[in-house]
Amino acid sequence: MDEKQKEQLKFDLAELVVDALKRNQLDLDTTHELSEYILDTLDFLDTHVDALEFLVELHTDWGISTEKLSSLLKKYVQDVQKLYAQTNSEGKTQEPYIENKLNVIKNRLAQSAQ
Amino acid sequence: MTELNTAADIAKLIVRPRDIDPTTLARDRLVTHMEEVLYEQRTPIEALKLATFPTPELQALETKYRTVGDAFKVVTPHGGGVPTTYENPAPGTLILAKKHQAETWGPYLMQVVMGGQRAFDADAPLKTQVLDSVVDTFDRLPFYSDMLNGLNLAEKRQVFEKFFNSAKYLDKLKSKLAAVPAGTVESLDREANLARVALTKAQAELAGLPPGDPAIAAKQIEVNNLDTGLAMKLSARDTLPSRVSSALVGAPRDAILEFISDNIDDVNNTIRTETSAATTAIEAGARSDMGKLPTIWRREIVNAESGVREQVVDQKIMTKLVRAYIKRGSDGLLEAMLDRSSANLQQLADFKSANPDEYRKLVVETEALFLADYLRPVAGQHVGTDVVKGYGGKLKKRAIKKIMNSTDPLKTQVLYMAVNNVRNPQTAMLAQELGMEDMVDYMKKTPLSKLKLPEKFKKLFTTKKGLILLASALGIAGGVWYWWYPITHALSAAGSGIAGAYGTVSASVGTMGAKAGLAADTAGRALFGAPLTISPTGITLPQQGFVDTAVQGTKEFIMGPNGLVDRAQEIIANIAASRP
Repeated sequence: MDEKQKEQLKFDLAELVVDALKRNQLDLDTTHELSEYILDTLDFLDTHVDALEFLVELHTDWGISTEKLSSLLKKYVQDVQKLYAQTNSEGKTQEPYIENKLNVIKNRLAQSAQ
Repeated sequence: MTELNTAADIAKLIVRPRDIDPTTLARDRLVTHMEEVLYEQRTPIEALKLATFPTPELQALETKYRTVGDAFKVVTPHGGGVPTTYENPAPGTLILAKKHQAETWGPYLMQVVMGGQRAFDADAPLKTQVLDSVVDTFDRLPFYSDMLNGLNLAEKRQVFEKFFNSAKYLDKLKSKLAAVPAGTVESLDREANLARVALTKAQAELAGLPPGDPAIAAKQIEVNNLDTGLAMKLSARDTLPSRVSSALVGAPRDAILEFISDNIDDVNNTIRTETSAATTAIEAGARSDMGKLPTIWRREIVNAESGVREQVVDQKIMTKLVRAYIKRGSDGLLEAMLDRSSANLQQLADFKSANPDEYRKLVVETEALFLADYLRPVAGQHVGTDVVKGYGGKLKKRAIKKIMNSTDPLKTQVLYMAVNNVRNPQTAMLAQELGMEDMVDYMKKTPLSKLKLPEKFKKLFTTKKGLILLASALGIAGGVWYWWYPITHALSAAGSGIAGAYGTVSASVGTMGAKAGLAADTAGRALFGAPLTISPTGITLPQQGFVDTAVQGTKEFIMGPNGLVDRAQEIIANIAASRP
């Protein structure tokens, strides 16, 4: 995700918390805990996969099941599917961590072979 | 619209605070504030921060503790070692520890007391707690920590050399000890502490009395002028070292000095013998000077209402470490562990500059331990899952993902080490999260007959000589594996003391165990032709098959059956189905 997308994700997540709070899907203690968790986690959300995974987590671990969550899930599912569709058509991985991982290993193996 | 004719009509519309449920009021107030910040100021972070107010329970707890001491949060060590966050606790520092952790904390509590400071439990009488802990655990006294407190790395090493190899240091010690007032625990300073341990070890050796032998009491009376009651009480202690050392609490100074003078060679020999292996741990501790490994991911609190002690994950600390690690890599991790004090950072920089190779190796070990030992348990192994709900595991995975994202080959080793090192359900979980379960299964479950063996190893199974060699190798590998753990565990007292002095807690010992385990593991795998090589650091390296598996596994995790996308779509469907 680029910076603009990351900013939008932050906004979406804050809005998600407010919405869940308004709808009594979160009590105050949980809101407190979740807000801290989100703040702590935001820095780690770098890719669309990260974002999607985090949204799934908000449902499975924190019990959020609002319309807002549903719409966000749809958005990021589309993004991830689009990403992997590109991967398949171009015949290479697009996820940077996979790509980098391969390079790391290849380099390492090349060094070992020398 | 309601017609407002009288003051009473108006009053009906005024909602008085006491008529509203406080929780509802707080919720409404929070929502209003968050929306204002979110929509008007467009600052989502600030909006979220509004929701992070402390709960009333926590506020009450903090208030209670602050009345006791000026430091509320003291974390409990995990598995051994000295808590790193309060190496120099201020007077009144609150220290909470569970009974089973008291053996680790005991010396530390004593250190606090000895320093003229006071350690408090929230409820237990100070004296009882401190003395019980001290007496119970004297044999694990981290005397090195006391001895080395305030010294820089070079000085610490110098002290160790002197201490373990000559009597000169003890001479110096004696002169220092002469200035220590005799009498109570509180009056003993760090030199006395050192002397006591030295004496303890010598005494244990000289006395030659097995644990539980009542004659030890007589020995204490004879040597230390203890009164009979205390001597007998000490004799009932579980272990010989603890009884002997405990007996010296309150021993007259002259008796200690005299004993050291008379038995200086024995003292040295005993210590040298007992610590020859521990010296390795010391070295590891010294090498680990760059980092305080985070045995601080959980803390223990006393429920203000029930009085029940509870463990809670110290999310902030753990998150700080994880975040530092992810954002700034191993340097960031180590600096975060050091609490970024200028002295610590300078020491770290000096060490890195002076020993770049050692630094790099230890970075790998530190990271592996960090992942394997400190992130893993947060997922719920040692504390209630409700406490750590939704926490830890995800961060851990992200941390690992960051490693995968790294272009540093060593990080790859770290990843593999973390996964491969710990053979338990958490490892399997970790592997599964990474899509590496196939690899782990392959290594752990594939029948020998189906492994693709290198040609040279086939002879091992087809010749008598080969079978003997194989059996020997297996025996050695297994022996190393099983031998190291008790040894390293036995060294935990010294190791934790040393590591505590360097701020590394018991990580050095853990590192040794991990390395030994890896050595055995690697040997076994190499023998069976498993797809591993041995790196210069002794850490197993993955080969191409592993990479393919990992990459494929990651993709499966996201796009495969019941993968991330599938789960997301299921949630979407469920939400839609529950719509009224």
